[in-house]
Amino acid sequence: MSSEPQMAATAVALVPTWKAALSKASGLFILADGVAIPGDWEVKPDQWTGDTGDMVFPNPKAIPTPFARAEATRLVLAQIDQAFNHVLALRFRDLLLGVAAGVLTVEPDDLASPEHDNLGRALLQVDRDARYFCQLKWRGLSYGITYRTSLFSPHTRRTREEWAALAEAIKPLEPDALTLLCDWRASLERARRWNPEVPLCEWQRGVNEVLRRAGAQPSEGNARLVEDARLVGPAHLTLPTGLNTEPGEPVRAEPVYLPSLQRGFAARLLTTCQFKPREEPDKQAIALCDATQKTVARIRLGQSGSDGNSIALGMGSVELLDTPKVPAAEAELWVSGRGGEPGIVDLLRPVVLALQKIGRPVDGEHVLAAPALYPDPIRVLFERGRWPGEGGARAAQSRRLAAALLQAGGRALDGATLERERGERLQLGGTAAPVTLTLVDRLGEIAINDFRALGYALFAVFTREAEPASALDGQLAMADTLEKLLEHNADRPLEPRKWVYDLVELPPSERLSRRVATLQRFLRAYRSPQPGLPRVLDRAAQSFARWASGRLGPPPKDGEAGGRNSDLLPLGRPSARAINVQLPTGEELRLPLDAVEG
Amino acid sequence: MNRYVISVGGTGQHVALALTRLVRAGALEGLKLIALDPDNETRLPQLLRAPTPSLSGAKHPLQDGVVKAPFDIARLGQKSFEQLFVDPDHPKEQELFQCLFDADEASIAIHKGMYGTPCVGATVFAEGANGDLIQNLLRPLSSATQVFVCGSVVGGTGAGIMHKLIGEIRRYYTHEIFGIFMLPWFDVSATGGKGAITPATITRNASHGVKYFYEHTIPNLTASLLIGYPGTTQSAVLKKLTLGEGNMGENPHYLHLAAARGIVELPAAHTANRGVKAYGMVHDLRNEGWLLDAAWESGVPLRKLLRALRVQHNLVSFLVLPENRNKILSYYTSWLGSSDFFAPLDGSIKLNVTDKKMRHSFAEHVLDRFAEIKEEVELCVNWAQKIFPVELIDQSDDALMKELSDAFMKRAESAGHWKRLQAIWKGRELPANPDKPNTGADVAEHHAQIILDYALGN
Repeated sequence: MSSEPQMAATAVALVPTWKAALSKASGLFILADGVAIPGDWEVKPDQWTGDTGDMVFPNPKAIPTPFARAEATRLVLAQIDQAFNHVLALRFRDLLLGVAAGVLTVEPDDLASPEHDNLGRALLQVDRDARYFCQLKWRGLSYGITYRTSLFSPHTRRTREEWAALAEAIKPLEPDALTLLCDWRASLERARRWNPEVPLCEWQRGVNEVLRRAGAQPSEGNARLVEDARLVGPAHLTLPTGLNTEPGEPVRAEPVYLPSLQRGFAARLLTTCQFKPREEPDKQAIALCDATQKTVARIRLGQSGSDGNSIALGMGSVELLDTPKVPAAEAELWVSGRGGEPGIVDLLRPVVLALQKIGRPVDGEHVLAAPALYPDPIRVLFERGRWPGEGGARAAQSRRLAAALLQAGGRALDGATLERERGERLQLGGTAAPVTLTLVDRLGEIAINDFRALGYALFAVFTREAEPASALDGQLAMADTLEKLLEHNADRPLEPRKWVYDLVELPPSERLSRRVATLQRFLRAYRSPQPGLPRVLDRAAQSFARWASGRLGPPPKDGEAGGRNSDLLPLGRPSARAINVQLPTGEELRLPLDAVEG
Repeated sequence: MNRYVISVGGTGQHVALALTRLVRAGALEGLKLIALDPDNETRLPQLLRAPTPSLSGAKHPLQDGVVKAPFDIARLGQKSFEQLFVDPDHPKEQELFQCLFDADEASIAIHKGMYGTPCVGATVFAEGANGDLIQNLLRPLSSATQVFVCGSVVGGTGAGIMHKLIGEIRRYYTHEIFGIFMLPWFDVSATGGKGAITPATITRNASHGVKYFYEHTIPNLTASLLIGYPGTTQSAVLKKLTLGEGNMGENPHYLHLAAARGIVELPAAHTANRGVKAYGMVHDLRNEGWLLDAAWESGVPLRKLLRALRVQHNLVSFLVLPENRNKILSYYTSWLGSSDFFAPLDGSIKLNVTDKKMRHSFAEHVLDRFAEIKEEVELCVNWAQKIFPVELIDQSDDALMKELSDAFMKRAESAGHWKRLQAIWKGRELPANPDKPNTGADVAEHHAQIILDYALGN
C-alpha cells in the first residue's frame, strides 16, 4: 500500500468491510498485498460461533465444492488449537480414534468405479485428486470417508446418538489407540513425512492436537505399531515429500496406511506365512490355506490391467480370516518358494512392482524407515527380518528353529541374538541361487540342536555307518537301513532329517560315550580355522562330540572356532581318506573317514 | 480484439446488462457475451436476452444475450438435487451421496436455482461439465484474445460454479482471464419460507465464498476485481437495496457500473502490476460522478455520451410522436402540402426511393426504426437516471438540453423541434447506394447518428 496521505474520509472502498487507509480517491486499488486474503476478511476462530451459540463458520453449505465437509474440516484443523470444540474437530477425533481402535473399518474405494455412476464422474470433474478414498464404517453404517487434506470427511446424516454410540465403543480401547497413533506418527516423523505447518497437511495438525490433548506417548520401541497393529486402507493423503525441510516444501497426495489396533496381528500374520500360498484369480488375491484347505488369510492383488493406482485401491492388503491349526513340527515358512513352487514373496511380485511404480522401493532401508507406506505383508516380513536378502538370497533354517522362532513371535534371528546364542550364518549356492542358512543349537531355553544333529550325520559318515547310497542318487544314508541322513534339497541343503534331531535330543548311548578316541580323531579331522562351510562343520563336530561324550560343558569361547574343548581334544591319527558329496546348492562337501576301520 | 465476457448467475447478468448499455452508448466496444444460468425464463434473463425488441439476436450490443444453462435443463426436468444422481441401480452411489449431502441439500429443486447453496451448485455444474453442452458454449473461446468472468462469489450458482468454470475455460483458452466478482451488494428480507435466502445466508456465503475464492480460484486468474456494498456507507449513489423473495427482475445499482469499469481498468492495472491478483475499487464521496467523468474506451466521458443520447432521445421522440408520424406519412399519401418541415429527411427518402408509390412504406420503415432507436436510447438513459441522481447527470448550464426539454412540453406543436432537426440535418441527406440499396432503417440510423454527433459537438 502507498504511503500517501490518507483520504479515507472522502473516499470509500467498494467492499463490505475495509479498515486500511486508502491512498487514492477513486479507481482500482490493491487489496492488502494483492495476493492473500486481507486479514480482516478472515473469520477468526473466536468468531466462529454465532450469537445463538451455533457454529457459523466454517459451514459446509457455503463452500463451493461437493467435498465441502472435508474442506470445512480442513479449515477447522488449520486452527484446531483454538477450535477443538468445533463440531467438525470433535468428529475428526471420533473418526481418528475409531480407526485406530479398530472399531471403524477402512475400505478403499474409487470414484471412477461404475458403482458410483454419474455422481462419481461429477465428483471427479470437480476434484480429480479425490479419486481414491476410503469408506469408514461401523456396524454397516457409513460414518464418513477419507479426504486428502483433512484425513476425514464426516458423514452428513449420522445422528448425535450414532456418534455417541461410536464414541462409547471406542472408549475402552482409547488408551491403546492413542499409543498406536503416537507410534504411527513417530514412524512418519522419522521418514520426514510429518510437517503439520505445510499447507494441505492440516490433517497432521489435527492428529497432533488429538494426541497432545490426550497426553499420549509412543510405546517402547514402537512395539504397539510393530506387534499389535494392522495397517488399513490406504487413505490418499497429502504428505510432505521429505525432500527438504524449507518452507514451501512440496507436498504430494499418496497412499498412506492408517493404524488399526489388532493385538498380536504381526505374529498371527507370520503364522499364516507357514502355509503354502496360491493364487485365486477369480478373487484377484493370494490365498493362504491350512492343511484342511481352509483359507486362513487373503492378500488382495486387484485387477490386472486396471488404469488406476493399484496400491491406492488396496493391492497388497491382507485380511486374516481364521486361526490356522498347524502342528509345530511341521512349521515352515512359505515366505520364499521351495521345490519349484512359488512362495509368498514370489506371488507378491505384482505388489512390489506396483509400489516401485509409485516411487516406493521395496528394500529394508525404505520399508523400515516408513512402514506406514507399505502394505502389511511386506511391512511385517521386513520388520521380522523375513524378507529375502539383497541379491535374492533365500533365508533357510531348520524346521526346529522355524518352529521355535514362530513360537517367539516369528521374528528372524538378528545378528546380536545369533551371536549371543553362538549360532552361525552360512552362505551357500554362490550367486546363482544364494541361500543363507542359519544354524544354532539353542534359542534361550529351547534346544534346537542344528549343529549337534549335523555333527551326528558327519560322525556317521566318519565311522562308515553311513555313506553315499547309489540307490538314493549319492545322498548320504545309513548303510544298514538306507535311511537318509540329510534333507538334501535346495531349500534344506544341509539340514538333518527329523529322526536325527529326535535322536540327538535324547541322551547318548553308553556305547557312543565310550568311543572317546574315535570322537577325538573325529574332532581332529574336522578342525579348521577356515570360515564358511569348514567352520560350520568344525562346530558341528564339536557340538556332537560334547553331546556324545556326555560332557555337555560350555561351548568354546570366541576365537576358538577350530579350537578345543577342555575335556575332549582333537587327537589321534589324522584321517587318511575322505569322500566327497555335492550339496544341492553346488558346494562340494569333503567328509573325512576314520583312519581306524571297524 | 476478440473479447469475451462470461456472466454467471443473476449477478453476472446485472453486470452484463450494465455492459449492454455501455456498449450501446458507445462507451465500450467489441464485447461478446456468454451468459450462464440455469434460469432463462424469469424477467432478468428475458431482459438480457432482448433489452429492447430491436436489440436482440445478432443485434444485441453484446452479440448474444441469450442466457444458457451450463447443464442440460431439459434432462433435469423437475428433479431435485438428489434425484439427479441417486437411482436404485447404484446403491453405493446413494451411500456416497448421503455421506456428502444432507437431506436439505438433497431436496433442492435445482431447476429453480441453487438456493444460495454453493456446494450444490458446484456439483450440478460438474455433472453438466461432463456433457457437450458447456463444452459447446465455451469452445468459441479458442479464438478469444481476452476473457472476463463476472458473477458473484456469494450466490449458489455463481459461487458454486465459478472455480470449476475457470478450469473449463482453460481447456480452450490459455491467455489472460480477468475476474469481476461481486461481494454482497443487496440485502434480503429476513423473512422467507424454507429454503429461502436470508441475510444470514448472504453473510455465511460471503465469508466462505471469499475464503474459497482466495485459496482456490484467484490463483487461476490473471487479476480480479472484488466489489460489493461498503457496509453502512450511504450516499447519493450508494443506496442500500433490500430485495424480497421472488424478486427476479433487474435491480440496477451503481455497483454494476463500477463493476463494468473493471473491463477498462483491470487489464491496465495488470500491465502495471504483474504480481497483483486482487483489486478493489475506491469511490470518491466528494465527486460521486467520477465514473461519469472518466473516459471510457471511446475516449469520451460517459457523462457526455449520456447527454448526447438524451438530446437524441428528445429529438427522436418528437419525431415519432403519433401526430408527427401521421404528419410525415400523410405527405406521402396525399402529396398535398410541403415536406419542408422535415426536408432533409424527405430528401434522404427521395434519394433512396425513386418510385413515388413506394415512398410511403419506406417512410414507415424509417419511422419504425426511429421508434426503436428511441427505445434503445431509453434503455441507456433511464438506467443511468436510476443510478445517478438528476443533479449528478444534468449540467445546469446545458442550454440545448434545457431548450429541448422546455420545447418538448408542447409535444407535437413544438416548432422549435422541427427547426432544430432541419438545421441539424441540413445538407446531410443520405445518398443512394448503388451497390447495396439503403433501407428505411439505414436512413433512420444515418439521421439519428447526425443528431448524436451534433449533440456530442454541442
